[in-house]
Amino acid sequence: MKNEIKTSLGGKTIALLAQSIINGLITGSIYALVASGYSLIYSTNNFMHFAHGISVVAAGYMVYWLFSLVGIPFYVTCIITVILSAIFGLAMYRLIYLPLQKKGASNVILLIASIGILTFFQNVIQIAFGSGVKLVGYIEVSKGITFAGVTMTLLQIVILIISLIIFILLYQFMQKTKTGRNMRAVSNNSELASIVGINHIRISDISFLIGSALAGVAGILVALEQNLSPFMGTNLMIKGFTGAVIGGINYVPGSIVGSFLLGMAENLGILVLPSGYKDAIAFSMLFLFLLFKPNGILGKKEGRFDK
Amino acid sequence: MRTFKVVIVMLVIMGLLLTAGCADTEETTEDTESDMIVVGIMGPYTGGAAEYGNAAKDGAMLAFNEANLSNVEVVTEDTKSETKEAATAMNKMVSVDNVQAVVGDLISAATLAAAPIAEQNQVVLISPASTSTDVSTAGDYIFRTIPGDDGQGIFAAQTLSDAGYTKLALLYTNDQYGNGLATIITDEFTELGGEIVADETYEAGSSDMRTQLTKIKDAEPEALFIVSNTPDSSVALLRQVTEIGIDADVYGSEGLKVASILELGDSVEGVTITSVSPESEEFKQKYMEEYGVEPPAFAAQAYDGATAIIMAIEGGATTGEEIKDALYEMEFDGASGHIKFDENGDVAGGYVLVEVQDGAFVTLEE
Repeated sequence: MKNEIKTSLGGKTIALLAQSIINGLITGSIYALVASGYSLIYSTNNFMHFAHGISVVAAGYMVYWLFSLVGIPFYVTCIITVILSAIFGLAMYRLIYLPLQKKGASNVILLIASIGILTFFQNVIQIAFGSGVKLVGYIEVSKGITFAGVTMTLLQIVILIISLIIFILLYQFMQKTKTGRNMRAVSNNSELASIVGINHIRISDISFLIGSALAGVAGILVALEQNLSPFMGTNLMIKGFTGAVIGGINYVPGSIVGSFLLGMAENLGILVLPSGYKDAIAFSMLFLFLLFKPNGILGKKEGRFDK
Repeated sequence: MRTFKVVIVMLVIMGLLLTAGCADTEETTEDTESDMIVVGIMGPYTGGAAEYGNAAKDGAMLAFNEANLSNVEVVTEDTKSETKEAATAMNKMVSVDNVQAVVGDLISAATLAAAPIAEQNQVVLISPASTSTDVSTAGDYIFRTIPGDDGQGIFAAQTLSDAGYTKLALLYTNDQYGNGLATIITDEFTELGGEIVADETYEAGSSDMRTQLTKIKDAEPEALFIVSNTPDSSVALLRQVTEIGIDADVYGSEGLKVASILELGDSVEGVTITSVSPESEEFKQKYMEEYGVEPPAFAAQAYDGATAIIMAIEGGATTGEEIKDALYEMEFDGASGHIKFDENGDVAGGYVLVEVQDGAFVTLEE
């Protein structure tokens, strides 16, 4: 009976497939929101900002604090959260990374510093809010909308739409504005960029501001869609990083595509494989890409002279 | 550069202040003399299972503070909900603190990682929460104040079968606890004439089980049994059960009995949990007086584990070996029920059903 359902090509299996694709898209959009900010910062600064994960978590807790505890209207909370996230990111760069860079710290030192920041703030959040799971509770949990056999909640549809809008805006910004072009120039060849007079620190400031604002948006959506616990940042960061590597860590659109691919691969993979292999699928992909295509699907080779 | 230094100094000071602020309940520090008996408490105080870990620590500390033994020093170690951290913590407590007995760990895999080290160094290890069947055979020095999964698995399968379900779906955490309990339920439920129509796992701490739940929905079970030991996953998957629209009645192991899931409101109404018999009223009162909240899961078991060690020390035991021998002899009515360790260091214990009704856990009468 069980096997019949699995092997037949009846309506049931197609619905299962369609639902899994949607599940993959939802998962992917959250990974992509984390990965886009992360890869934006990576591409212009060339070091692993693992504390990006804590920007996401801090934003989530900010929503919980301002909206659920203080009682500030939700939309105002969102605006404050995004602004504070951007400032938080900039502060991390200005107060920790930049002074280290000025002392001649290598990228490995900066990576260690970023893990230090991540751990530190995870513990600060645990002390401030406790180790328990927190729910924002803006949207009541209810059954999603079913359309053509596929069930999705309104929030998930909103998340997909918001991510798409953000990614389009981000792309336009990177392609069309002067700052965006300068950022791409720095990411392409930072030495050459500084020779032609692009101020690297200013570009880094902007990348941390925008990247962390994106983390703020991700944090708000994660807080609504999942729930909050102080140590969720590590997990989000690992998946965001994996998505970014698959798509091309030094190229923002690449990391977005990679994240969606990762979400799809995980969710479609466990339709065939036992569900215990979900993380194994993600990390197998990470290793294969690191070994055979370290620049990812759409990533560019560093220092390549483009156009 | 100066601002950087100022910030670093500020962060360090903040860190010290914050840790000092929460350290006051953690240790009953006495002068360390040669005749001091050092007792450890270890568990996940950070990470996905932190909510349980802190409750267990509070429960155990309550017992030590009450007993206030002048020759006992208590040390605590955070095992961060990770197996390797449990081994590290155990090693540290054995070699640096020279502990004789330890209350911990909670997660079965972590307890099993610490067990060989405890056994080898003749240190008693009493887990308040690890229910994996493997803990029974982990060694002479390994005890627990919570009954093993055999009991719960059989109780769960029987309950589900008695309720008339014939098609059951299982969703469980992919670790020692989840796999162990799922195997027992599968065997027992099949023997009782039922069928397992879906068998899905997830990684502890993950928060996306949509595709697993999609597969479960597709299998059309009458009931879904969830085995979870991390609150963040419990909340996430219960939310997704509702969102995906699974019609089956939802059951779960005692890991679901955590205050956070009640915040999901109406969607968790009617969720039924198999749980070890509730803590005594007396303990409940004491715990609420001390910490201002109802005792979460495993607090009473940790209190009993600590009580057992205290009783052994009061009886004159000073080394791990003497404490171990005393434990096999003792028998008392603890906060979590009657405590008498069998030859495997296990307790018998009983089970009840707890249902979420009007946003609270209500114990169903037999």
